[in-house]
Amino acid sequence: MALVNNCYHCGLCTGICPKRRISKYSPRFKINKFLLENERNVSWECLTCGLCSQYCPQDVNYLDFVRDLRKQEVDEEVIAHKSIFSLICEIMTEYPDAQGVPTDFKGEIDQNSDVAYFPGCLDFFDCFLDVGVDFHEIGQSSIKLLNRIGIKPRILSLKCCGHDALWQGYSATFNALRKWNEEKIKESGIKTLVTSCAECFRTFSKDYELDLEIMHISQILEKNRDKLKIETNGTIVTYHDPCRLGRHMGVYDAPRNVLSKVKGLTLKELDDAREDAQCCGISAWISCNPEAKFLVVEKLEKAIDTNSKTLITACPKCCAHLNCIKNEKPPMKDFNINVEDLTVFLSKLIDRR
Amino acid sequence: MTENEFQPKIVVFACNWCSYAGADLAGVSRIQYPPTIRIIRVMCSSRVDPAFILKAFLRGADGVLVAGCHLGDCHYIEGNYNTEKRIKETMKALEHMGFEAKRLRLEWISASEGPKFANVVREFTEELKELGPNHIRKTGDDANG
Amino acid sequence: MGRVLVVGGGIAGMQSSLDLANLGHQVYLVEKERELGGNLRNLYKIFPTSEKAEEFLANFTEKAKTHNNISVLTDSTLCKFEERGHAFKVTIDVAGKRDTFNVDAIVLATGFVPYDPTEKTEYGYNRYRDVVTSIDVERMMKEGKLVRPSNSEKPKSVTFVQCVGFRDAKAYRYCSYFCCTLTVKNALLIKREHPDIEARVMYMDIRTPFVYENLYSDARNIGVKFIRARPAEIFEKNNKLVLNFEDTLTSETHSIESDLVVLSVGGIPPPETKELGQMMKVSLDDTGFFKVHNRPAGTDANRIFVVGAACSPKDIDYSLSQAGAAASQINKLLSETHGAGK
Repeated sequence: MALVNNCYHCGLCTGICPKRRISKYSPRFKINKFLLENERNVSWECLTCGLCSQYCPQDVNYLDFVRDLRKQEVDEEVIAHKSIFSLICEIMTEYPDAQGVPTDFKGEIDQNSDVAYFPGCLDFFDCFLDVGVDFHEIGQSSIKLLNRIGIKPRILSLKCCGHDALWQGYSATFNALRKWNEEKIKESGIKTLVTSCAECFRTFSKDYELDLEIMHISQILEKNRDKLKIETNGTIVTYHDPCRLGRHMGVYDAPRNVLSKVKGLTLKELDDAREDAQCCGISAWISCNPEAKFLVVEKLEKAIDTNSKTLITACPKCCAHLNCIKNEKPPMKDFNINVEDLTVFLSKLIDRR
Repeated sequence: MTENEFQPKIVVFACNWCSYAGADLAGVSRIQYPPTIRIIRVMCSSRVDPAFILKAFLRGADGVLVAGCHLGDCHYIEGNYNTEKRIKETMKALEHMGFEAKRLRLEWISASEGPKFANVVREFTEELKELGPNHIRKTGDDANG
Repeated sequence: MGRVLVVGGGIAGMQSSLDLANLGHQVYLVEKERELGGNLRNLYKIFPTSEKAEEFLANFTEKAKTHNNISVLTDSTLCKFEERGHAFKVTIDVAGKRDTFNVDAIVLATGFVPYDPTEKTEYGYNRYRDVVTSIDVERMMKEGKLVRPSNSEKPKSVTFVQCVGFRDAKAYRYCSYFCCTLTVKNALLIKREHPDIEARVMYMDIRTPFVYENLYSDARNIGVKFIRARPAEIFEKNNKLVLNFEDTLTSETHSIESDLVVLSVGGIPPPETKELGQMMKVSLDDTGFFKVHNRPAGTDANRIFVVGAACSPKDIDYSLSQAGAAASQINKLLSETHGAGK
């Protein structure tokens, strides 16, 4: 169990927790109950966004504490979409002949390259999410952009990275996925693994033991941004920092540097950008309820306030949640902004020329 | 059928208004079909969430049959159109995972089609005998947690 | 009779100098600023007596400047150091001119510098004019101008925030010892002078040792509000400062307004500490201050001692005690080598 004894109850975590603004959730209170009364009720409201740990003066890692509490017992009731994606992961680990995720993408592919692209669960999202997002397009756009900067990647078919399984408490499933994936990656001999999902990026980097370079698509595009050569005629956009890319992995500049290379593009920052960025509202499909919705709506409204045409994000999950509320049937209101993944946004600009 | 021969376990989701009635009719008409099915009655085939299907396979079902009204005859007007879309996507997802999509079957069976119900079960059972048992052999006790 | 170099002319440096000089040794008191006094020059009234810092200091500086055995060198820094057997050859830059001489022992009394909380961007220092530090507020009270920097009006509410940059894994882990008593003293002074001002202290623990506990009770009794919380953020809205926090005693979150916010900052090692340590081969501990190796004031370098805040932030009483004890320790050492002092 992650060590939280250091907590001296200053309350900063609770003061800054986004869930506290709409409920009575208090990380500090939970820690106190645990330390003094050994109360181990699982915390399903926590977004694991990391704001609390970022500022905690005693370096308490509340996220690891929540993750370890959840390992005690899974609660299917709190997982949205009837936990279909967790079931998919379970099948991936229980079915002996299970394959990795589909890798049917067009473009210049070189299966001998030592730079591999991993699309993640994008095609599964297309099967079961009706939120107005073409998830396959995110993978396709990533390949297109990699080709544009002169990289012919290998497409690596791993199983789901297991991020959701880990944070939902399915530790056996996570360990099985991790073992399989680590072996496959080792066998492949690749030196660089690129993913367009912030959650895969964090999971491979922090929760796996891998001996190679792991990059988010924004990072590899940033490295080669001079080769992008993309332009637009005066579009205003804003950017949402995904928790797993920003606070968890410290990557704030890469997507911004990539966008700054698009001629004619203006990037307006949200007032809670970078380290203080508010979570989109949902993590690992857990606790999708009116409280979570409040945060999603807040993020959309803040984006609209910047007068941007598009809210760009760098995680297919954030993209899913934001679009889910935006395209609700019937819609809550008319959210006058597009929400797109960074790769799709850039890719569309290339097509337009 | 010898005792050692593999008997597939088929989970059937049958809609109340058409397919379940069809199954009923097959029974009342004494039409013989293999005792491989376990029927779950739902009000409409669109009630069947893909998660139920995956769960069934995880729990050891060798085949899942989703039966609803013919298109245009749904008691709730559009329900079975959703069913069709969902089951097709579920089959795609199963293929993505390398799991035999043939173990999932969608049929439109009306209340008067007792024989059809029996035929479908018979055919499906034979197919599954060819495919063999589901390689996932889990019970509720082994489930994750 | 020995020769001692004292580096730093704050009260610890001055007390050591006076004690050593009274014991018959020759003291060179080197101070980098134009005047003696160190951090005390920035204070208004000192605890627990609330006597004026200026008057308290004047007592020391007068004696130091007029003592026959003390050479006061202000505007001066130590620029060269060499070990020569049982002595040290030091070069001092005195307002531009170089002066070299030999000494038998060295006392490091370089004190502390106040922490600059600008890096704590969530608190808005140097971003919102009405967010000041405890040192700023001492100066403001000294000048008789306890007003909001934004509009020069008297504040209707003042909120002190404790442990800014201290007891903090993201800045300095240690507790800076004097800031609780300093704040309690200031809150009390403000309420005495301006009873209509709403004064609050946001704290994690109130550490007012021994008789300073009375100041804490006095502050509570005069109506200073104590809130057990560390603010999550401080920002400006409609010309007022807003603090968001969880009151950890009631488990409720609140958002309050304040005309003035005082960030209570502690002491960190002065920038020259590392260089001096390397120059003289004196170890620092992991707080960055000089390490006391041989109580009460010996370092791990022979014949080099440390007093006052230079080894850990402390209050005046503690500094003076340690300085006196150091003089005793040094006297014993010098007597052994040179023959007894007075």
